[in-house]
Amino acid sequence: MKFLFGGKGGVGKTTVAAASALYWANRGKTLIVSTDPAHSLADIFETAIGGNETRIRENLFALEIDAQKSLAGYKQKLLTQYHRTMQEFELDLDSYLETIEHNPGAFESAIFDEFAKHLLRTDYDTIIFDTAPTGTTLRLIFMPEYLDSWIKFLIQSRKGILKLRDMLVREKDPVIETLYKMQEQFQQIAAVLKSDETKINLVLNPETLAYEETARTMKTLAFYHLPVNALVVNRIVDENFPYRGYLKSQQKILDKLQAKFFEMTRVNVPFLGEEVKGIARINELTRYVEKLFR
Amino acid sequence: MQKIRHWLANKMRAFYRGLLLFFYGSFQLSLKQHIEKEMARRMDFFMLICFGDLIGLPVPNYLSFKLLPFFLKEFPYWQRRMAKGKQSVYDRMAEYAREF
Repeated sequence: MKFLFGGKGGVGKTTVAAASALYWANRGKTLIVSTDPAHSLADIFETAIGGNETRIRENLFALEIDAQKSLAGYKQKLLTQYHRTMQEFELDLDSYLETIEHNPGAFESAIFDEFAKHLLRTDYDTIIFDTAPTGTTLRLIFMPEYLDSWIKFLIQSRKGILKLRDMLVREKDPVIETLYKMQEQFQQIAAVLKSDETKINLVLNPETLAYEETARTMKTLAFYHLPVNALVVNRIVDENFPYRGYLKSQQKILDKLQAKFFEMTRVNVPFLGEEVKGIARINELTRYVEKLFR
Repeated sequence: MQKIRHWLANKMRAFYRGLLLFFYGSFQLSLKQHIEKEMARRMDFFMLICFGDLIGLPVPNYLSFKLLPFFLKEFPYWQRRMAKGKQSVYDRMAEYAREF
């Protein structure tokens, strides 16, 4: 099973994701992956977590995607692997690779690459993704479709060349094979994202801004045929909360949610007062998050 | 007799070879050259849309990043060709866009 937690910034995606991870860790091997460039998994678990899988406790592993590192790694691999060819032809690819590294979109693509790698993993029973705020995550989810159209164009161009080349010589073309492989991978990822195995959960606070953004996100996701599994309404205060105005506006949003998303699974998580940090505190949350998985 | 036959056979073979070359030159060769030329042109375009950054043309290049190894040997020649060409790069781009 794969769970994605998305939503507006600061609503508690990481907290809910961490609580779910603890829940699933009691039932099987679990990995929690942060796709946000500004990671906060390490802060909530109060341990250092890097680009490699780090053991948090029994059956629970965490990982923070380091796109910069993976880009640099790929570049280094290329430079060492083709060092001789480059010397032979007096090529200076350093500046080119530098441009690629800092090109708009390259960073996102690198994150997507890593995300895809973990999405297709089978060595964990459950993988939980703690994502970046809405916009970035939506781009991440739709990335296979964007890239697919560009790769189709590349394949079409390459086919035109091969049609001519086949008249002269017949041999395998590694370029088009690579392109096909990439396309296949994108389609596979899109399929996994759309399958029942992947469940997208949205986290929100009972506030207008979070509510509106969630509604918009759901619309966009529905447009691409990606259903939302459940809504997690985080930080709901009770009657003892001193500010009456906040209580009133919260009630309004909860009524709105009830009216608009009555058929959806909604999970209410109360405001716990003290900040949720460290495994013991996150554990308190698991009994609320549990309802998500029934 | 033997000599004459040998001479004749040689002549015939030469004639046959010449005939083949004639047809090859008049039909096949021009066709092959044409195909090769067209293929080279398209190959240049393909490299342009993949590695435009190398000659200062911004293209979405993360995907072509992975195709880099296959084109490594072609780069210097390609760069020279692109720099030498009478048409500007944008003209070529437009020409290519028209094909699709």
